Amino acid sequence: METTWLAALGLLLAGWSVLDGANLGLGMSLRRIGRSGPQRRLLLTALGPFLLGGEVWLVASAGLLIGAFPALEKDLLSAYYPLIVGLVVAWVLRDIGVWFRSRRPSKAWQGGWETVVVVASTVMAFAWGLLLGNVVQGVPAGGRPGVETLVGPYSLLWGAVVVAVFTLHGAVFAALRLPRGRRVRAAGTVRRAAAFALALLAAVGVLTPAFSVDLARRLPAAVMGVAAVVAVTLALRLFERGREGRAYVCSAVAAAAPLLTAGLASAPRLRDGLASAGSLDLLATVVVPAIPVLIAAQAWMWWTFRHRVGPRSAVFF
Amino acid sequence: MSVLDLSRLQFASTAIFHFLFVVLTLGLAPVVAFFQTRWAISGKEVHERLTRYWGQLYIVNYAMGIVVGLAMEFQFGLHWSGLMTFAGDVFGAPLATETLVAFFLESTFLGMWIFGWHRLHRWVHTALIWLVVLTAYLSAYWVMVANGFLQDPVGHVIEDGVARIDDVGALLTNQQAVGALLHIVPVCLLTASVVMVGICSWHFLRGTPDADFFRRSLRVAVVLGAVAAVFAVGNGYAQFSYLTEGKELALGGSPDERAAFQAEMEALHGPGDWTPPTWIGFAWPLMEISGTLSMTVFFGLLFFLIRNAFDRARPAWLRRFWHRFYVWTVPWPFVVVACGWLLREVGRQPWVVYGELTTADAVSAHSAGTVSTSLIVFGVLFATLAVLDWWLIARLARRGPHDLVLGSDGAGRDLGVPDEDDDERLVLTGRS
Ligand code: HDD
Ligand code: HEM
Ligand code: HEM
Repeated sequence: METTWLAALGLLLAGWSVLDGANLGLGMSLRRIGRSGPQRRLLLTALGPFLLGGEVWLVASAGLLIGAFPALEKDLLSAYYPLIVGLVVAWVLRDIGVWFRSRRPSKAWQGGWETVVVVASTVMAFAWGLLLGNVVQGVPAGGRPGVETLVGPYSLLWGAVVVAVFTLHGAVFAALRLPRGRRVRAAGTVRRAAAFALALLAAVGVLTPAFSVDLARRLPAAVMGVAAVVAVTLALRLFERGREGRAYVCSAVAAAAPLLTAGLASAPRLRDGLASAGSLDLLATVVVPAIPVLIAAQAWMWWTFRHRVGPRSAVFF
Repeated sequence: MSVLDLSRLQFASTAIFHFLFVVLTLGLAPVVAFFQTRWAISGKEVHERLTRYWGQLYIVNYAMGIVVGLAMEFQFGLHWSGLMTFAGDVFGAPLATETLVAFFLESTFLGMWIFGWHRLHRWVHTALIWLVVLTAYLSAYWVMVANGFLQDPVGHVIEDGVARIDDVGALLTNQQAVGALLHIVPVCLLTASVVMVGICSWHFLRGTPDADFFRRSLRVAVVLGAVAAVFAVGNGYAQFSYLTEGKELALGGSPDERAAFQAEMEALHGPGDWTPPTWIGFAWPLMEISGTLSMTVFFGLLFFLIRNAFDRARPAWLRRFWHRFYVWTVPWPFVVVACGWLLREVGRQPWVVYGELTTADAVSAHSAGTVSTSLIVFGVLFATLAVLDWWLIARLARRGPHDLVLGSDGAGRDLGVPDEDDDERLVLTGRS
């Protein structure tokens, strides 16, 4: 029972990492992959249909956290207050940057909001990584961890990992969505991000024992870490062969890996905050029947916008 | 200020900012859906333009509603840990249901609607906007279930100092949720009508070449506004049948009534100030007067629809005066909405869960510095973005039904595709 709810939370967060991770990654590279105003607008058009449908996975995760794990949400948000505020502010700015960027023809306006998107996407991914790194080191019950943990070297490393895997994933996503002739622009970013991701993942592997971080469940976490390394490597090779679809699947695994690793490593602690049976029953009766509908709606969205952007793509962002 | 005051201020400003956008979202969505349905039936160009023009105002407004909603969602955990401990089990469930069952679908469908032009079959596309409307109202319902529980905690038992759901039916049919929603829905529609009438009036004042377009919009807005005003006022008064005693004082009780209530509560809960603050007394008369006035105004306007008397009425200065009046009163419903919420939420004080948990006991133990920092960060951020967003909406509204950005394939001149530029134009200018 408890495991089911935790798995549901993990599923939602993994869904967010994969879907919005791609948006964030693309946002971070907006000004690198897109070199002129119209190129950037093309990228935003590529991302457009997936922005709302991607971020809503995190909204839903937060909702499920409140509903099914009220005590855990209280502990997490109290303990990591500054990180959460930073994450939300970056999230707001990323969204608004995307929505506002093309609302005026002025170059300064567009360039300004592009910078906002780049910075905010990076900060949001980084804040998410910091959060995961902190969770791995143990969620305090009441009170806040010291600054040396909150933004300590080990947590910072996690932040960097998430930025790297999201960048990789976003660049692959861009290549998948851009018209065929344009996809090569993403290649440089894919290569660099993959290299960084591999180095940083290795560093986490080495430093976790070195910092004597006490993982509650070591084996599954280690397996997930190895899976991330394999996924990054495969994503790079598939991308080089022009198999963007498959490369996307691999980079998606890499994007979800930090969350899954952190979740597996600290599952026993997270389960503590579960709500009472009555609330879970209410949630189960309303939410469970809705799940197939939710998945169908998202699948329909992906199917509708499965083509590369091209003539007749609706332009809004 | 104490941490309690800072946390309350942050919650109040976030919530009010959120609702200023939500109210228009909820009000405009059905109007857009209505126009699109007519377009799907008639296939006429004017109906397409009506859909896209009002639709683009709707979604630019939506953007801010979302981002402030994001901040809302984290408020409970950030500042009200006592509330989460005491009532998280009860009131988390409706909030979770809302995000999973309503928001999730709403966002997915809205994204498909915005980007589905030229791609989806017209009836599928029309169905999408109706689904957005449906899920938006569904989400309003679930939020009000959570909020209603705070106003009048029903359907729960307290075990070991923690509230647990006991009667789901009572929770879901809480009068404080359903009754408030019945008031809020027409209020949202009324707000949208006021905004539409204001925008139409602005264009009439300017002697717009699109007179036909705005007359059609006006007709829909006035009829909608008249109906909505009746229900807003009727369902507003209907709430009196179940307001809590403390709330009645917030509407403006005499000193004697306050003293009597205070004595009664002291007997129950011990010493303390158990009455809502007196300063909130301004909110209720403002709402009542505005409701009555808008009903009068919209009924008057109904007559001016006859043979388009609205833009031909004599003498000209009087006509212009009224047009100006409608332009200048566009912000008014938003002010009233904020007052309504202040009445509801401040009127509940000193309780966060009425009769069971005080606000002071619910607040998290952060330092005042931490909370004021986030208050300033969020405050400045939202105020800036809100002003920018309104400015963008005003620009789009003034431009009239030309160069519409919603449903565009990028060929428009004002879409930021500079003429001199490269091959990307090929994609962005699609159909040409
Ligand atoms: C344009 C906006 C608007 C207008 C014209 C009115 N209201 Fe209202 N009112 C709201 C906007 C609003 C609101 C912001 O939507 C509130 C806040 C919470 C809620 O449920 O609705 C509200 C709350 C609210 C409450 C408090 C409910 C509670 O605390 O539980 C009462 C008693 C009324 N209204 C009554 C009225 C009456 C009798 C009106 C007309 C004569 C009226 N309102 C017009
Ligand atoms: C699900 C919906 C809502 C819930 C659960 C909710 C809950 C709360 C909570 C926990 C507080 C802080 C504690 C307190 O001061 O009592 C609060 C205060 C407040 N809320 Fe709400 N709220 C909701 C919706 C809204 C909306 C939409 C608005 C305004 C548009 C609003 C306006 C306020 C205001 C003005 C306060 C400050 C009252 C005061 O502290 O004196 N609320 N609400
Ligand atoms: C505590 C109270 C509330 C919380 C935590 C909250 C949270 C949110 C969040 C997270 C979103 C963005 C969802 C997305 O990504 O699409 C949102 C949007 C929305 N909310 Fe709220 N909300 C609250 C109060 C309310 C109330 C009282 C209403 C209506 C009565 C409301 C109606 C809506 C609607 C219609 C939207 C979608 C449209 C828009 O963003 O403007 N919310 N809210």
